[in-house]
Amino acid sequence: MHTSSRPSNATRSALIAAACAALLLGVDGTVKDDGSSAPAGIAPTKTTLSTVLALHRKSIGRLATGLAKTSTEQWTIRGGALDGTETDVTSGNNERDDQTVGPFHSATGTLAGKSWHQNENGEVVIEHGLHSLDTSTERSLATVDRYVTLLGTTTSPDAYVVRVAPPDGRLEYLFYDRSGGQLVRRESAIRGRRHVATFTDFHTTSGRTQAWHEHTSDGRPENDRDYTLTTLAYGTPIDPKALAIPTATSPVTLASAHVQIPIKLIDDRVIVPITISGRTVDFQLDSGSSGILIDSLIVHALKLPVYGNAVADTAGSYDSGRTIIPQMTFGGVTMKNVEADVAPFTFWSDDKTPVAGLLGFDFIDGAVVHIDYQHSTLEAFDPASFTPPAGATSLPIALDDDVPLVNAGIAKAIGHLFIVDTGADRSTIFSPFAAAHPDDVTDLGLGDEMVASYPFVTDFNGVGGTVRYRPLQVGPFTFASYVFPKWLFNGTHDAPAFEDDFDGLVGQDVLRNFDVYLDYAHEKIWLVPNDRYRARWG
Amino acid sequence: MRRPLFALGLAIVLLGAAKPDPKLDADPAGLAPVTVRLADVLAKHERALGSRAAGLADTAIEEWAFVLAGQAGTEHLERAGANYRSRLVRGPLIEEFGQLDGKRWHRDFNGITSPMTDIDVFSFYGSRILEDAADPKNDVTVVGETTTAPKAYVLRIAQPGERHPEWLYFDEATGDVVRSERVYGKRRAVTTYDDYRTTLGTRRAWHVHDSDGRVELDADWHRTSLALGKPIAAARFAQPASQATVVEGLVQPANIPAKFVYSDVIVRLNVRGRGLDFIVDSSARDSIIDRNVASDLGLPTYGQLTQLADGTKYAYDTTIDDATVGPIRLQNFALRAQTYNYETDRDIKVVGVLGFDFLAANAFKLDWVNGTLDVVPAKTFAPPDGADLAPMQLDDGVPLIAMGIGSAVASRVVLDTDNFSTIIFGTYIDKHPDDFVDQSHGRRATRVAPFADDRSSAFGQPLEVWVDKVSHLQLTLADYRELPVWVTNFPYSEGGDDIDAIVGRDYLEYFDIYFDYPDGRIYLKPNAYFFKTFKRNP
Repeated sequence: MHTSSRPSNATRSALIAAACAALLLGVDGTVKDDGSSAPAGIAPTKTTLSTVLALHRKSIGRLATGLAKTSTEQWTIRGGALDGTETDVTSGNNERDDQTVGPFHSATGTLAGKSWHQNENGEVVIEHGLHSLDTSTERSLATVDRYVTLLGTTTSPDAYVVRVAPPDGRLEYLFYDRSGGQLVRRESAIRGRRHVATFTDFHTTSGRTQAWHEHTSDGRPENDRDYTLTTLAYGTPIDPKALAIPTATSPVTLASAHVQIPIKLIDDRVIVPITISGRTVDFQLDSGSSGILIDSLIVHALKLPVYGNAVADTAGSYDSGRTIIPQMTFGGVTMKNVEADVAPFTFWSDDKTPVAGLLGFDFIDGAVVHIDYQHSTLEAFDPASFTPPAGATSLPIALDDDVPLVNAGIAKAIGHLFIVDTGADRSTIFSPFAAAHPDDVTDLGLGDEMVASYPFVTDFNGVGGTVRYRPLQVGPFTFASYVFPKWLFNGTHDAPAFEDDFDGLVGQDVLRNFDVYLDYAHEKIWLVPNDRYRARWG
Repeated sequence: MRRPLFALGLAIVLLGAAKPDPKLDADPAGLAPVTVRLADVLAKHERALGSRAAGLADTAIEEWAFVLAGQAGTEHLERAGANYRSRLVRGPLIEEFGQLDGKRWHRDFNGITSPMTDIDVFSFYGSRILEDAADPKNDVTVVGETTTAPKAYVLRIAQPGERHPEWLYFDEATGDVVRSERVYGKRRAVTTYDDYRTTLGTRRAWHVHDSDGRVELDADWHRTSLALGKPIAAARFAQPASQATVVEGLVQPANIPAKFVYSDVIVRLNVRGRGLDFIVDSSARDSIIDRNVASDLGLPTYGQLTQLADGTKYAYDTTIDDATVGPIRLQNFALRAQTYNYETDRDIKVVGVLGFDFLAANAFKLDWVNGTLDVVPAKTFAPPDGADLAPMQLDDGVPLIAMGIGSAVASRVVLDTDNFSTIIFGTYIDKHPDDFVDQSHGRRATRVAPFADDRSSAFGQPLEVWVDKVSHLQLTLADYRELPVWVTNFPYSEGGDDIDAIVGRDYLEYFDIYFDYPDGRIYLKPNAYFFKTFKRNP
């Protein structure tokens, strides 16, 4: 089923580059509509919520009896200077959506209760369903709980407006046509912006009515998209192969089962010199990045093609596009035909090291990556033959967002959505997590003292801008099986585009105390305490 | 902003100059070896720190007495969380700083208040956070203990991004930090901390002494009172109105005799029977007088250091008790005495700058066509017909206007009447590369890409300036199209935030400029040059 206007992995992938720490780009200074306020011009109505929802259910209709519970849809996609198609196939609770936009193909699906996605570089991730924002909103609406309210009517469109606002979900305003009951508009508060989807051109097929045209916008024309349904069939037989999870591919090739990668470890940032078209570009190894990001000046200078344009949000807003890098080579690693994001991205890790890219998921997923922070080395292993070192602590990860999500504990609170982020200089607690656990995320003294003595440094740099924070000493901090009595975090505030529904980042300040093995193939991170750990906490 | 490019070049040279020095980085001499564990030293120190008494509000009201480079003074500091207000008194020189909800302000020696984005380096000079050893981002080693009483453990701390280590001395008996050593330039700076007192659970040093071996530059700070937890109204931290008493009020508009030489607007300052040529500079936050002239006039130094023993001259603050500039009378006007003089032609030697303080008390009209500078009493000033309001914010006296550059709006453009050429800085160009067309036949485009190999430009290399064609340059209602402008690869910041551009006389001279700082406004009115050069759109 086509769900393009919902927050998706594609949406999240922009966030991810999130995590990388250093970039000097300005912040979009315009005042944004964060989507939380009710739509304007709502008039009161005497109609009840149950009447509106019944009208809506009636508008959808029912599939003709006797038809198999299958569907096949063909969509066209336009917008962002990159057009494409989407094919959606469903059978019962199983589904698979394949999207081709320009030269890029990706897919998502659910099979036997497991959700999965395949990115543009062919890598496949089985999801753990950790994000609850969208499912919570859907559950509220399905059960019509106390978080669903009828606000009134609007004249343009001529619709009833229903607010869905579960405390652990996304805020949405749903507009149901007053005469027909169809959902004609949806406004959602997503990462600090109002996203609007409008639905038109309703057709009834085999007894069921749905919109054949959907327009989405977040208020920035570059991000507008139009989805048009061109064919729809219910009840036709579906070949099980059409629903299968695709075979994963990887752009990564290792010269041998174990390769050493030359790096510069600068202030715990792993900087990897990579050869592209005969030139050297410094990338930062960034497990917090859901893909590969490369600076637009480099792309321009190398005359690489740029596909599409959009405005993305991470720490700030920035123009972005995509490219295909023919080949990246570094220390026995070759990556070919790599789909990468293009954005203005440069920072100097020191006065000889201009970092112009992020080396994220697409590399890390293709190998087991070992970072030795104490000896400044980086290795890659073939996942098929990798054996964890003796005595290593296993940390289970989920890769739903193409970044390693782990559990971490702050006092008695446990967060399931902490990102292990080699690109983050310091570990960070996001404000929603702090707000949800006020008794646990309370400063133990040092954070307050730092603010008292120097109340000025209140932001750090991320992709596209800066994020405000304050120092926050909390504890005990539990990471894997390691318990630290106190830890000094950055506590973000007022950064919804950066935080989304994640809990925080586990950054270099923690990781530098370990030998770290990123083993995505087995959904694990392996940790071996080093001498730093032993001197301070051992 | 006199000669900004020169200043940029200097910054680059300085960045490239620093190199590690084994002697400077050597551990302090005469330490005895110890076997104490780092964890035990840090644990004892943490116990010594204490913590704010439970339930106590995070506020402080404190008084300090200090001697800074030979000059005595006092400070009154009030703080609640990250909001604060300070009043620093050095003889007749009084200034205030404050911050409310992240918005900083500064009231200068002449009583003029302006918003400020820069870090306030004065208000918290005596407050120190001595927790670098506890910061897990740093590498910490116990290097020994002192052999004289009171004995102290000495820890060497290497911090990310710092070229030199620092050393902290922890009193073995109390756990207090009693001494720190850091490297500044070619010197080892030593700070001692004593007179520790515990107030409502928190332990702090009430006496801090800094020295880098040059006694005349020593800083000595004594806290004389401290009250914690007292309520302070938020309004106390809000930016106050200016209290300009140094510029005598005008009754009616008047002309100020002025000479327009190249990009300089030169006026005559009459003081103690001498006529001195000063430039009027809209981008100067401070007014300046040449130190030799100040000395000849016998202007007071108020006990400040003016010269080091080795002959190095030191800038200092002074006041002119009575002076006139045309019809304007200045009384007890504070300005900075430093080396500043140059000859614009054979007849004019400029020996000072009249900056924000001078412009802030009245309204001024700068007329390039007729070469006149008029002053209008603030209370009677009204913008003339045809004048457009330039969106403007002051940053510690520097006017930052918004103007369209390319397809976007640059919000931090310095309006600089004393700079002939408009120039756009690297960070803005990086964000909007498509708005600029390289006029160097493509050579620039490749060179500015941040490649890591040796054929590329690199941090620390000289500033480069070249010409691009920009699609739009919009100043109020005027839209210059496809015009060549100076651009540079170098980022430039004021107050820690990037400056997008400087707009200089080459574009400003098409307008009469009205400075209405008492109302926080600048107006631009197209003049005869404008209508002679440009045509209105049909």
